[in-house]
Amino acid sequence: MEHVNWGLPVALDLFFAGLGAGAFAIAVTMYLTRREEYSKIANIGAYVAPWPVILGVILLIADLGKPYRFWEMVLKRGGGLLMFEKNSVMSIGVWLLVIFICISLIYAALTLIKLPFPTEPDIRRKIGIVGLVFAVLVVVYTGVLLSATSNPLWRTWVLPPIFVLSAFTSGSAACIFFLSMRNDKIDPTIPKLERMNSNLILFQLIAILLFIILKLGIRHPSEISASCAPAMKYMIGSGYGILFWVGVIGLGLIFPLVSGIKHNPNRKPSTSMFIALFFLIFGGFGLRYIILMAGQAIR
Amino acid sequence: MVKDPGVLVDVSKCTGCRGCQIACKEWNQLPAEKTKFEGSYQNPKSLSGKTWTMVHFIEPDDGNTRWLFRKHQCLHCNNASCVKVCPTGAARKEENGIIRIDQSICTGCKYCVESCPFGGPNFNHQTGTAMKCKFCLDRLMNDMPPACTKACLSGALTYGNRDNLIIMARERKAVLEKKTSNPIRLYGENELKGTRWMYLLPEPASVYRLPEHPRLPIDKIALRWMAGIIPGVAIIWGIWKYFTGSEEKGKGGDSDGTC
Amino acid sequence: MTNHWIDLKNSDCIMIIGSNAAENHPISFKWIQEAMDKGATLISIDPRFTRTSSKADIYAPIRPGTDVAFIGGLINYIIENELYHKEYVVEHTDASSLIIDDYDFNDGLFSGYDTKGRKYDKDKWKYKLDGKGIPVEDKTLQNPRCVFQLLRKHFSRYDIDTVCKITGTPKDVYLKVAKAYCATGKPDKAGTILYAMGATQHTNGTQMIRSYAILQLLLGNMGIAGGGINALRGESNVQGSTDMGLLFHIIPGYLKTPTAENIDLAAYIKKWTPESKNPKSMNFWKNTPKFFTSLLKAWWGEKATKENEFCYQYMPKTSGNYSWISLFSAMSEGKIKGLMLWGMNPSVGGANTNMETKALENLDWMVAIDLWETETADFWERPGADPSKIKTEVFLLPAAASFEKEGSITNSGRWMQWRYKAALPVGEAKSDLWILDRMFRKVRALYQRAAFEGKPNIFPAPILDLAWNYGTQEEPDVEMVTKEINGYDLKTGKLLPSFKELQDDGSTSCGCWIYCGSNTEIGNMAARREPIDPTGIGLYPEWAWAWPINRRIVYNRASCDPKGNPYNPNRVVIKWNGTKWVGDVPDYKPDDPPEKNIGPFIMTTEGRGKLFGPGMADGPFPEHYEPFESPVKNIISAVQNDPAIKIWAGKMDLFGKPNEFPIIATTYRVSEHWQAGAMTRNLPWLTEAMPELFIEMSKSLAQSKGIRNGEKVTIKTARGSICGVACVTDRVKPFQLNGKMYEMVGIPWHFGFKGIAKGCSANCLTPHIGDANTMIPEYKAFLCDVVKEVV
Repeated sequence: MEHVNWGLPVALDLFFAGLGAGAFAIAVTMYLTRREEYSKIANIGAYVAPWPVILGVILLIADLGKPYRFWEMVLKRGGGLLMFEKNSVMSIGVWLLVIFICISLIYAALTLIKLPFPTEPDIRRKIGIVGLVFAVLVVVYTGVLLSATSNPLWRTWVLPPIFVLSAFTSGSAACIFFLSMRNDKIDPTIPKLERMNSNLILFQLIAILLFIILKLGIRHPSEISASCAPAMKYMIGSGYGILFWVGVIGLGLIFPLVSGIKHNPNRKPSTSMFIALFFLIFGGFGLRYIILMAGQAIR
Repeated sequence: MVKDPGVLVDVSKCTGCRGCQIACKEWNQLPAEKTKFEGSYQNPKSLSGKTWTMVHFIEPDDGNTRWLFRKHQCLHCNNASCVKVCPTGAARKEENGIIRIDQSICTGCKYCVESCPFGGPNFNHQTGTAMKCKFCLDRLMNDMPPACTKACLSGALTYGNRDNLIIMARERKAVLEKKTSNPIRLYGENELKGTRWMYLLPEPASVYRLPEHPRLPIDKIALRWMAGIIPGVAIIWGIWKYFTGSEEKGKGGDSDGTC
Repeated sequence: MTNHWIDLKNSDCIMIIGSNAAENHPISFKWIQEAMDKGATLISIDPRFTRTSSKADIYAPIRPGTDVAFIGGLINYIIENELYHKEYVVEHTDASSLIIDDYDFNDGLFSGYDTKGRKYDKDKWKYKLDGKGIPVEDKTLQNPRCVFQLLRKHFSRYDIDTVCKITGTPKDVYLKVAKAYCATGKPDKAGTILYAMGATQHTNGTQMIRSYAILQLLLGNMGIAGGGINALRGESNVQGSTDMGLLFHIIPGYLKTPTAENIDLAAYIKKWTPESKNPKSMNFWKNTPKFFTSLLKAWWGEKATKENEFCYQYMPKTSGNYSWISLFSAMSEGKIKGLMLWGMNPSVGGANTNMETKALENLDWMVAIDLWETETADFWERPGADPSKIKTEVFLLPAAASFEKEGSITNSGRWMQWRYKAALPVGEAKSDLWILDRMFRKVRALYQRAAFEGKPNIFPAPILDLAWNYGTQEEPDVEMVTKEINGYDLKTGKLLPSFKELQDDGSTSCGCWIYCGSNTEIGNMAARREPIDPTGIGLYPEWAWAWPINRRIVYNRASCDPKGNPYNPNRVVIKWNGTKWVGDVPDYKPDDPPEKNIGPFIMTTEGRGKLFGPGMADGPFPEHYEPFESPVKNIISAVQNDPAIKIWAGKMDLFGKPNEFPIIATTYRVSEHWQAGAMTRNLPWLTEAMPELFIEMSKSLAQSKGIRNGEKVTIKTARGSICGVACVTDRVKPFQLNGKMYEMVGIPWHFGFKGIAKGCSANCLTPHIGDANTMIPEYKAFLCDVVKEVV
């Protein structure tokens, strides 16, 4: 497909970056509550967070036309100075990713290894707070990157909030997933997290609805076609309609929303719960993939 | 070399012969694409890494039979999105204002491809880089006009100093406005702080498959960041509140559940 | 072209009919655009809305093959509304001449028709002469037997309603065309007609051009800047090749090919030298003996003497018609054994090409000289053929492209322009001249040996005596060829400056009299490149060289009134300055004062522009006949088809009826490909732009057949079927003819089974039926059916 510039690897990167940073943000927030009952989730989140982001970056580099030139994005030629273009969301993103990966790795290490001096929790907390800022920015960046293009489908302010909401749901879902994998019993935080997720899912549904309405209804004189409706119609209709409504909205959002509400604490992790988590996570991926592909199919 | 170079495209004079399209391929030694006839003379269907200029063949479906032609290529905007969004500085403005993608630096991230409001730069799968019209910089340096303008027979393409072209365009605009009742638009005079390729359009830009009001993709970028950061912060704050403030209630809730 | 490309800029109204100049002669639009910038009106008359139409002020749809009706209507409109240029018509045309009483026209037939032989006795269509042999005139144009009144009567039947019922042109559009174009009848206005194969490739194509000529004479548009009848030639050098005698019936300089009846030189001269007793007619063709003798001297040199009729008897004499269709019919019947194809690709370009390609199988040998292995060169491997059953031995000689050799090219505007060699030929490719030279030397050697051995039944003299002096280099000296064409004064050995010096006594030689003056003692005139325009109307007299004698606008005497004053003082072509004619090279004796009142059209026997054309095979006035395959009955007369066309009856000469093939079809070319396509379908960039065969049709036809844009469709005619991609477009619309709608499809004919861009050849569909005068096949109008599924 000649017209696809950003395909599966980029969709995966957007998804993994959101997932990792979302998980990190939840983990750090949990840690910052200083509550013992949240420590498990705080630790799991810390361990999980860096790897998807790193994987995403690897995929991103692999997707470059000239992967071995990736350093051009980081270092200036000849001078050894750092490369940074303040107008380029991608350049900003590169640095956000680099910094976030470093912090999240340090944070994970601090979580794993207790440092032999008394201020250790303080350090972890401070690094966590800094990391939290970068985690949010990484999550937002995935949305801004797409919305700061001339693509008729992507170009909207609704995209960043959708991606943020989605990142938090998939991040927390990943935390829940790994937490439940290790334990026979449902962790007491899980119902709370799920209730939180239910809210986020609701917001996400609202945001997506807004996205659809905005794109279908409003004229966009900046676009060549003077309208973004064809791309949106392609996304929710002729092109990716089934995947969107069944996969993303139905299985990815409404199914976890409906099944998540019924979960009881202290019961055993059920298969249905894992399925719901699975769909929640991959619904987040599906959403990004569909938006990415539909935007490039119709211009 | 012409100072402040530009090209005026007078679409009313274009006969759609595509000499420009072939001349570009020839001068830049670009490979032919595999195409199919799919109901329109327009081929290749769009710009690509191997096709830096092509002619749009437009048959408006409004009952009034016309056949409109518009040569398309990178417009060389003064405020160029590709230059703005390029993370490596490969896309840059040369001294004479021409926008060029440095092929030795381009990483092929395709951000410029997705950012350009005109679809100017495109990814070349063979080279792994983004490519586009380079205004025949090599020819310009040797006091030759761009290959496409050299090939144009009917006077649709005029190469010259941009200010002179604007004066010329205004004169032509007056002539054309006498002939038709439509207002004539000099597209590119002010769009994106002025583009080096300008079009005299006797019909709305959208008919000619150009955005009526092209914008930089990074316009209102702060809004987009804030649109993400605010919900992000709000969510964290919500989580914090939810997981701290409601401890007793939460516990109660939990115990309710266990009863 | 009577005028030239640059001159288009001088026009006030440009009518493009039977031509798609924007697509097939893109350079024309440089000048048309300049004219339009100055306020000229562009009219495009075409069955399809083309790239030319897209630039036109007025687009008039016309059913293929109805040009005579369309123009006939304009002639009627001009006469009835008195829009003609009165002084011009009286003084510069034969309008006032009386016609003999034998001439008559009745319901589609002129007098003198022989139904059996399908031909006319042209003796019935003559000018009335007085006792001295001078045409009788009535300058008041009132005599009912004068050409003007006969013309008026003939075209009075072409009222606008009838015309639009025939052509399918909407009446309001037709009126717009009439108003815009006929306004050029004012003395200071110029209208020009551009035509090409859309006009000529019909059974009455020659009469279409005649109708343009009549229109232009009535409006006083001949000989003036921005006027004329401009044939846009189909190939870059087809003008040059026609000048050099490409066609069977003419030899270089449009001299007639000797026929079997011209038993000796005297008989030839007598037959082909026109005579005029009118002192006011220059009758330039009276010089035919000088041109012809000099040509024989150029060919046989010293061997050509008065005593041996300048080797006249060495020339083969014709005894029939050797035009395209005739040749392939003869080949079909096995009468032709060998064929040399020099840059020709009949398997794509010929009419009814299934038949023509099949005919090639009857050959013993075939030589294809081309840049590429064409469909014809490879006909024995064509889809569906069994190579083991085809005995023809095929030789392929790779030829150099135009930029790989030096020589001249004569463009449509009669400019002979010199081209230098820019690149070496690829591989073993050789220039045409090299190939011809080697071939001749070999043939000569064979004859020499045969003569030496005393072989019986050979006639070596025409070959052995031929003057063949083109240098001693590996590559023949092309400049020596052009010098031979220019001609020498054989007494001094000097190159001739002009054809005025030619003699019929053997003291001069000239390979083509109209090119005399192209390469003189001054130098190679075709190589001149001085961009100066002293007249300001774009004549550029020192840029290359135009035949005849560097005249840029022919018949230019007609641009002035009888007193020698230009009709348009702002666009002076020539004028009388009291002692001589100045401006362009006058098409007149340069010092003949206006008072002598010599007719301005010096090439005609009468000295005037001929509204009456007694030399035509199918009538002195153009008359509308339906294309041979037409969906409708002729409503203007009882005669359906041109009565003077030859109807072929070979096994494969099949024709379709409208009940079986209800849809009109026409063929055409596109900018991206060239002729039979070998030179463009092998180029990746052009293939990319126009990759495959498509068939243009209206939305209504597509809807009725359930065809969507971009789907594959099959077109069938009585002769064959092809398949291509449907191009469903508003640019093609059905024609309303006499109250009923008729659909049309348009098919580009460039494609074939070789090359990168492959496709069916549209000429599988076209009929073997030719024009009454020229025998050119009717490629542009035939009947077909459209089927959705792919065969």
